[in-house]
Amino acid sequence: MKAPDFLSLKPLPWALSLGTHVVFLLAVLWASRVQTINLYDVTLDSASTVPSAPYMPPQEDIWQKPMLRRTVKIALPKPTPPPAQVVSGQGGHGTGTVRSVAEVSQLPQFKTKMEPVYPEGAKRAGIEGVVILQVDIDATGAVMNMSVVQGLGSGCDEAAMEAMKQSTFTPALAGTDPVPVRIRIPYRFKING
Amino acid sequence: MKTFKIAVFLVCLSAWGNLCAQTTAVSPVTLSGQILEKGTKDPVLGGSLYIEASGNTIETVSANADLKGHYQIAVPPGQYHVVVAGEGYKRLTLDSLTVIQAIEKDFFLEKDGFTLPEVVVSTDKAPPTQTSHEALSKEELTEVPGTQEDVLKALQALPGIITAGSLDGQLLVRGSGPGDNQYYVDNIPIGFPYHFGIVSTLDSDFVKGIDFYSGGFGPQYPNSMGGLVDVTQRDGREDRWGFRADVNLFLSEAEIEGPITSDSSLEVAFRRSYLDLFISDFSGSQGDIEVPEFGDYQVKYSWNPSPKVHWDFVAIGSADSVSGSLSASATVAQNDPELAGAFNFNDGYNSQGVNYHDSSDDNNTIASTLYHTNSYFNYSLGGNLYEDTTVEDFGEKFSWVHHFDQDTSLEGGIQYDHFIDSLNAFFFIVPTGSGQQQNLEITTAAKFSSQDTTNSNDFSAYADQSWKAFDKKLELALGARVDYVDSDETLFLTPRASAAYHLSADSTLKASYGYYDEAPDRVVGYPFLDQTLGNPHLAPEQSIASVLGFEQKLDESGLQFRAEGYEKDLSRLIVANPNAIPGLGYLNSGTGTARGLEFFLRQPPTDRFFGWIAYSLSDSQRVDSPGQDQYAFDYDEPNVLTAVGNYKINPGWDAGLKILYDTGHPWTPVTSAAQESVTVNGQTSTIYTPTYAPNNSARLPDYVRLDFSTSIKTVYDTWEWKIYLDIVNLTGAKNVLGYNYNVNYTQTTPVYDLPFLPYLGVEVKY
Repeated sequence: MKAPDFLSLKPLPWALSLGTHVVFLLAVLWASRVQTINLYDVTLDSASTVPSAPYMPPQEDIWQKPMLRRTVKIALPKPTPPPAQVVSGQGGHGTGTVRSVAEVSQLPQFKTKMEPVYPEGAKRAGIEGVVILQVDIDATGAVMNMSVVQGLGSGCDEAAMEAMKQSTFTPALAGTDPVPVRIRIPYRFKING
Repeated sequence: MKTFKIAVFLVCLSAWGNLCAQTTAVSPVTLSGQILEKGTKDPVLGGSLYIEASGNTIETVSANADLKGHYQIAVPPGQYHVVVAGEGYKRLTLDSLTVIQAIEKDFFLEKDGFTLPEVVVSTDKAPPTQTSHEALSKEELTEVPGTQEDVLKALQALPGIITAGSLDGQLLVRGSGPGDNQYYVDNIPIGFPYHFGIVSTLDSDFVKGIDFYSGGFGPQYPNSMGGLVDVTQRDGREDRWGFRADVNLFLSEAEIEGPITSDSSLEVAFRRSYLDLFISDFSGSQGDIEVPEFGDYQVKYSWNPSPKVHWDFVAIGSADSVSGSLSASATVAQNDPELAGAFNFNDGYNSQGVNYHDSSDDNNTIASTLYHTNSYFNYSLGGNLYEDTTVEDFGEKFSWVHHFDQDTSLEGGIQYDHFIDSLNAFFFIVPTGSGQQQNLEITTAAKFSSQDTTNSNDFSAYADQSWKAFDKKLELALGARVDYVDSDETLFLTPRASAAYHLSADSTLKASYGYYDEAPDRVVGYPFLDQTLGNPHLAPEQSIASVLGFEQKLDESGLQFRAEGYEKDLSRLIVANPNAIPGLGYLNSGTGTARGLEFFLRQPPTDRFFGWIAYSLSDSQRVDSPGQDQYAFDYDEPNVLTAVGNYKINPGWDAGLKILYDTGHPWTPVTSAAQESVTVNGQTSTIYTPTYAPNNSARLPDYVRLDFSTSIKTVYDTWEWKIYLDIVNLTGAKNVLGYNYNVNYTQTTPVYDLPFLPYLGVEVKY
């Protein structure tokens, strides 16, 4: 088998071509990652755009807003997994206690499963991944509370929660008794191909 | 006093006892670990653990695992009854778990059913106006029977694709040849991703999905008259290091993947054929041949500094080798004596690239790819003839998409390629025109020496504007691409347009129209632009293609139907000059047409089933030069019907069938043969020179084949293994691929496709 004729290349085309492209790429990278901020345009009342509880989509990232004058480099925050959440049983398992999935004999099932529409911005940006909602479902199968335990952004979290709001469930059962339960529902946003 | 001492002792004893009791009560121990999926060791997203003290239902504790499956519980030492559960998994119960001191314990849950209870929200990468497009997932690509889990071979079952026998893995798309396609792996152009044209060079497990375009693609992609294969490789695992090995009848492969940092991962894979290690060379009256050998590798490093910024480095390559010798008494050598002697064949490629994708700004997306590809193609024949070709491509692509609003966007981009083509040859001008292959006699063909290295630069720019109108019912995309080739100072403009009209939420009419100019320097294996064996002034081949289609979604499971009609007007096709003039070895004298109707009914993967039925009716004609007769293109198959189905019998066992029917290929029979004398290397011999009927004037019999595949997977806590069987030609049908003539051309012997051929393999994943 003949070895690839890779090392016998002339160094000049290598150096010229690679050098040109690296300079070009670095210029693009620098231009896109450095953002300018006008501190005078930042107002504190932007927090008022956050919807009220119980539905809590992630706050708008103010660093994405167009800003001027002062140049800073910004390290984007990395998502950190939430700590393990412990629900301590007090015995007796009254119907008012929200149980974990290990404490019920039958999990709730979708009665009406609404599927979110892929947000146009997420599609454009090529955003794929999983949004995980933590949902408390009461003994009638209604959604009591929900929160995003893993988000994707670009409208995917809101799309998943909107779909969840319109979905209905059969109640969880402990033996034959309907009981409230806390479950996690993954919404997988996937771009085919 | 004695009573007092006893009292003090009792008080102290009591206090010590209370202290001990309190110490016991406030010193719980920790039970921690992970709740993971059995086999894959993926975190169980909704996992939770519930424990109760044995014989005491009052003392109970439960905990939910975090997103990485970690849980932690503090309990008093004792014996516990444990229940571990997760949505979509079988419940795991431990009747007795002794917890005396802090312990770590992982629990592995088995999937309960075929898929996890997740809500899948999917969309296509391609724009809604795109015609002639299919996006297939890895699951579909690797489970098409008769493909040996080869993702590129699976594409042959799509509509508009012609196959040339069960061994041939290449794609023949809508009246085009195998060299007319473009292949991209993670945006990096790959010259020819096949081993000997049979097996693809891609490790199927690395592939996330493939976008296949049989036509109508926009100006974002360079020119090509055939199809476009856009392969996306997945990122490596970010949660742990994993290993996979696959051993089957022809090759073995190994891959390893895992996290480098919290936001980056690496995956590496190698494959090598090993029949040459176990089977001795073949030899017989026709000559001898060493067992062919091939190998390939893939490397991908991915870095996701934020959800909207992605970097990756990709390296991919392959090498093939076969050699042997042809006896002077071999049938083909008797009439073409210069073929007798040793032959060697080596080819391969090595590609590297860096991708950068940034969509941090909601209205702007930029992407850049820096790449290098080295393709080589070296062979020798008959002891004297040789051709060593190398093509280097240093390239850079940059694209920018700006969204003015929800309904309007503009995309622009530039591309630059610096080619270094090297040729060292003593060879004849290799025919390309369909009918010319049959008329080739190497002994009498003119041969030329050439030793040449040429540098050329291609510059390209494109723009593509998209609109939505009439309440988003009508979508339009209008764009153009400009290419400049400095080797012959050619500038060419290729406009492209496409439209979609949504009749309802489930029904869409589509149309596209475009010019596609295929530059000759992209084809490896043909020295088209060489100053001696080629023609440095060749113009790009051109296809003007129009497509009209209708798409209908049939139900909520995704069942869909597509019907399309297309017409391609081909011109400036490169044809070998019959006069074999040095420097004018090839001419842009060929023309042709390809038209057809395609029907496609597809069920994307559900819990248990996926499959499709594809039918293509087509007609493809060529003319080698003005005034010559029109003839059927080599790969003209008027009727092709393919049905594919795969069914999961249980979560670990699936089985599939594929049925393929097509009209036989055209071929050119010999009508008579005359004797003549030739002198080769000083020796004079008598040969028979055939006279052929008109090009491709006969057809092979119809081709029918049934393929079967099945796999059984067994899952253990921390690893899994799978045994798979793929049977090509289950019924042993004798399909004719061509005919061999005897020495004086008076008798024919059919060449049959593969007989019943089982392909067995074992895969282990950790």
